[in-house]
Amino acid sequence: MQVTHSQEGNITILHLEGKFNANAVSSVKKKVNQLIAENYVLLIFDYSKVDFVDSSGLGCMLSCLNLLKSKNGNLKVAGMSVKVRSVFELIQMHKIFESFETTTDALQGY
Amino acid sequence: METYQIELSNDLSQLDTATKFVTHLLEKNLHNPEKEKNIDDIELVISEACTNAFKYSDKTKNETIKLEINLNQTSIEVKLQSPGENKYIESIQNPSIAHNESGGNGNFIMKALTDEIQGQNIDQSFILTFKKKF
Repeated sequence: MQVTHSQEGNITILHLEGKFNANAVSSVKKKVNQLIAENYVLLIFDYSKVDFVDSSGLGCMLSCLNLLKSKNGNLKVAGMSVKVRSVFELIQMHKIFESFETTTDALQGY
Repeated sequence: METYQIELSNDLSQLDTATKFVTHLLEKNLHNPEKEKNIDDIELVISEACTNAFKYSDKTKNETIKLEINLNQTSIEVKLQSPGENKYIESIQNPSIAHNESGGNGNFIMKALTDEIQGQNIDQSFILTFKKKF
């Protein structure tokens, strides 16, 4: 999975592209750790180009949320497809994460 | 029922190969109104099952992961064999949502999206089987 990021003030949007499975976990965590080291702790995961997610990907996201919160930060999600959202809701992650239709909406959510 | 098999080297880098093998079979052979939903569900279950196999199987045995698919228009049966015994077999039969960042939800997903699932330790191997009706 490709992981890039863009900056909107002190909020970082992490653009994910591809399959968010066990093979993607290390690259996502590495990027998040880099951002935290640079004091960027308000994140949005942009799922608009993610075509698949499983428990490894969602577990990684939960791990990132817990780490960010320990640094007084936060993580919101945006742009989930119907397919991805169904997995998100199946394991009740929607009760833990704030989710938005678009990254614009998520930015306004901060 | 048609039977399809693939053997994979015991490495997480083979995860996409495993899921593509199964989704390709379903794309080619399944013809029903719920086809896309069926493929999405099976792709997810295969990803969860294979991830567990690649992560937790015994790598010292230097053996492959074996995936067998039995498929017709009304159902799929999958058998996944990995080297070494599984110590957490009970959690497959009785999964829960763990909300645990290190794991716990994969078994829940597999059970939620299949009609039958079971794991057995046989002759130093772990065999996971599941069935789903379309």
